[in-house]
Amino acid sequence: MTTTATTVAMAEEPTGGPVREARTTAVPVTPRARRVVRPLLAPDLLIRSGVVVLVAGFALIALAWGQSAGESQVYRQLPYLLSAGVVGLAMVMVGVALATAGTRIRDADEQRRQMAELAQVLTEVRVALEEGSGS
Amino acid sequence: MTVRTQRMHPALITSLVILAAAVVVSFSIFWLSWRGAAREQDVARQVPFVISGGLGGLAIVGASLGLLLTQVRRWLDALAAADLRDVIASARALLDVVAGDEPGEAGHGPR
Repeated sequence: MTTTATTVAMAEEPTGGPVREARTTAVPVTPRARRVVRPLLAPDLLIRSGVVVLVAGFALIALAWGQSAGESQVYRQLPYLLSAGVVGLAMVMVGVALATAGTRIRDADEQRRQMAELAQVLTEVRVALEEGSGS
Repeated sequence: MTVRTQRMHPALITSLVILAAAVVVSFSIFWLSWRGAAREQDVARQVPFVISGGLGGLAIVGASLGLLLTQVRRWLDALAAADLRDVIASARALLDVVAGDEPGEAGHGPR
């Protein structure tokens, strides 16, 4: 396990106070964890896997219903409730969370692209103004 | 320029890994509770497995996923705020040129 010092840009104070430029913290994190987490945050991968897990969860719930409907004793129905019903419900929750995270990351990518474009336009306007005033 | 190429705070990675592990662990809890309940032939003895393993596991899944989404949202919000700060800095530099000041002369702090 290694210790990595990372500079984190902080948001502007909502009260209009001074901007905290950066905060340097040292939190232990393994490079392996970093390598594992980063590819998993691909929006398309998150959305597709979320939909797959979601459909699988509903299929498990249907399976639990089908199996428990064939039993007449409650004590034989409860294991189906636990193995397929509850797990299916949990998988539906996981699927929704994965798809939500994927769409949010995709939206953030688009927002970042637009912000970068806006900053670029402002820079070009400034350069044009400087060249105009210099000639 | 995508979100994934940005530097991630180690605490963010740690929390994402821990919360994802909690989700995986809760599925192990489901398996344990199913195994325990399937062994019993008395409903009164199965219900505790349903409550502890089933509902408890579901609570862990729900709480972990909620926190995980919150962490992702906070991370994206921080990136958006950093982008916005860059745009504000560019606008200030532009304003300095329009006002006839040297870029950076008027300072870059909030006005």
